[in-house]
Amino acid sequence: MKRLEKKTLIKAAVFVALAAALVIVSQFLNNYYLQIVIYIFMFAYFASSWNILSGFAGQFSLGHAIFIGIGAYTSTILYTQFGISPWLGMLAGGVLAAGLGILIGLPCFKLQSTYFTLVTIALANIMLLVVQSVRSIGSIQINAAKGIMIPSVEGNNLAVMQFVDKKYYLYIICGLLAVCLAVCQWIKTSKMGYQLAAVANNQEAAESLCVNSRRLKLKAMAISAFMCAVGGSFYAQLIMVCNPARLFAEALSDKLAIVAMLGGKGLVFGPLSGALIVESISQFATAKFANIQGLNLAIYGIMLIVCIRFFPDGILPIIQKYVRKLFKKKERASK
Amino acid sequence: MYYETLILGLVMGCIYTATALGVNIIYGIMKIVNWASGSLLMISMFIVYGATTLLHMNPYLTLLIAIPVMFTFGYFFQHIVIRPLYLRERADSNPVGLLLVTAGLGIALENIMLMIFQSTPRSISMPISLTYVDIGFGRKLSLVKIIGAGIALVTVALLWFYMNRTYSGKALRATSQDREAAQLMGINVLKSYNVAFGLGCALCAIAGVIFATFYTITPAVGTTIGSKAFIILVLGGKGSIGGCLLAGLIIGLVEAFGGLFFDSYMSQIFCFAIFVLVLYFKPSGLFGKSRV
Repeated sequence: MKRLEKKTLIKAAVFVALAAALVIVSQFLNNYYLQIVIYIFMFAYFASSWNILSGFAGQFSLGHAIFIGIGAYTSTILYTQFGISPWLGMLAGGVLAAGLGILIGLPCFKLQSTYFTLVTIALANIMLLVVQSVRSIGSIQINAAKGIMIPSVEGNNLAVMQFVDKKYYLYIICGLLAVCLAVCQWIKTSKMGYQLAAVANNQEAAESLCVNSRRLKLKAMAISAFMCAVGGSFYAQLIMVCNPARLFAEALSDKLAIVAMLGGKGLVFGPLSGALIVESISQFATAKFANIQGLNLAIYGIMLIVCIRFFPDGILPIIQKYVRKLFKKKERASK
Repeated sequence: MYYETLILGLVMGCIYTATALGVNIIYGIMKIVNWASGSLLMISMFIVYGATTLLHMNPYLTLLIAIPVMFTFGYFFQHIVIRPLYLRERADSNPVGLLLVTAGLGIALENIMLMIFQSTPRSISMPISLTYVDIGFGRKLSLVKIIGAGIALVTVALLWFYMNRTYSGKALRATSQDREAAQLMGINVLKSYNVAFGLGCALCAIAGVIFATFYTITPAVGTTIGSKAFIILVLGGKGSIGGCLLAGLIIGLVEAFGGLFFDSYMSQIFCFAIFVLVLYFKPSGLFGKSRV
């Protein structure tokens, strides 16, 4: 018992130290590098939310851009046309996306794994095409392929989530990421997490033990969609424009899956480590060679092939293994 | 007007069938959704472009270059990357890793080409590219598209012949039906898989040559055409060549008439909607055998 308390204390201390380090480091970075760091954490966040459905529940989705786009569009439309703060719009988008997620999940969860993946891809494509072709729904302007610009306000305005100083964006996304990881951790260690793992491993066996797989998957889908949509609102506020080609793109959905797969899918901190490694490499490569188009995604593709070929469980388990080995050596030495 | 749309739909349907054949063969035999097929098609379009501009070859003759190159590529990609994965993933019967590997290949190829060639649109000009032939009732259709449809139909016929009448084709089909039994009959299953993947890539090359003759060549072209291939794959049912042709014709017609009555966005939405509905109500495809 005492040992456990010590462990949680250490964890809390590490957490506080990380937060402090983040605040201090963010003071010294200029907006350009801050942007890169924000992107890294944002993809960690998206991939973590993706991980709830596709990692924990084993329902491999390649259409999560739907939820990101829904979140972004909802908060932006509410803000630009009804004057509602993006903070509320974020939640509204989240609820909307969760509802849509359940609607998608109801018929689709009966499909086999590969077919489910194909359906999500097709749905994302339909969504992209619909948004690209519709100019307005009733009195709500969507502007088809042009997208919606978010009018900028001066200075740092917390109420409308617009900051000239990028470091506030960094704080927000880190807060979101922390919440997301906490939710993941909670799911993983609760009864639901074990049931989800059982369903992901062998659905028939899980069902024979009275696990309601359908409801569980729907729950996972709703949580995952909600989180993605909240992140989507943040993304829209960050880039100040809602553009279907950017928010509903297949490349975005693929990216989430790739980041999470590389880090270690089904692990709580897998997507985070994946984003830290992959996204930082690709972002800095793009920053260094800005004139070469497509470098960013080419790196993603190659890393994906190499990763699945040589370490299919992701990077995090390997790191953990080495860390454990290191500690064991130390223990032996001290003995 | 309907007549012209009908013919155009049928011609495009044949051409789409050619793009879907490669995916279909690979899925039918190995149960792998080859997500890279669009990019492979794009690569072969660039091969055609290179051969016609640098070597001044006839675009149709470049088939002789594109097919062997893509076959070799597919054969060795399967041998080096997919085979170990395949052997590993048999155990947990979750082919997502394989799907992602091919997706990764697709993304990598597309973006590497984007790095090299930028997104400048290119196209091939031939003496016959602007020729239009009379198709009756005073309507005209571009000659290259008709030739393309012809090549596609010949490919379908040859592939059917290969799969049903030759020894190695029969071996491939046996492998797809029952891996263990095929192995017991003395078929080298893993080598069959290499051949199947190579064959799938070679079929992509043929489709690439057809498209290169009338389509704009950009690194992003694969995604546009490739998504059609998956719709046809699901619609036609796995591994059935005839079903693939029928599904291709259906998609061609849906696209042509959707474009006539609505706009191009709507026709694409229709295609995807059909895809989702078929997946939901009849996952084995309209013309496929039901799941065993």
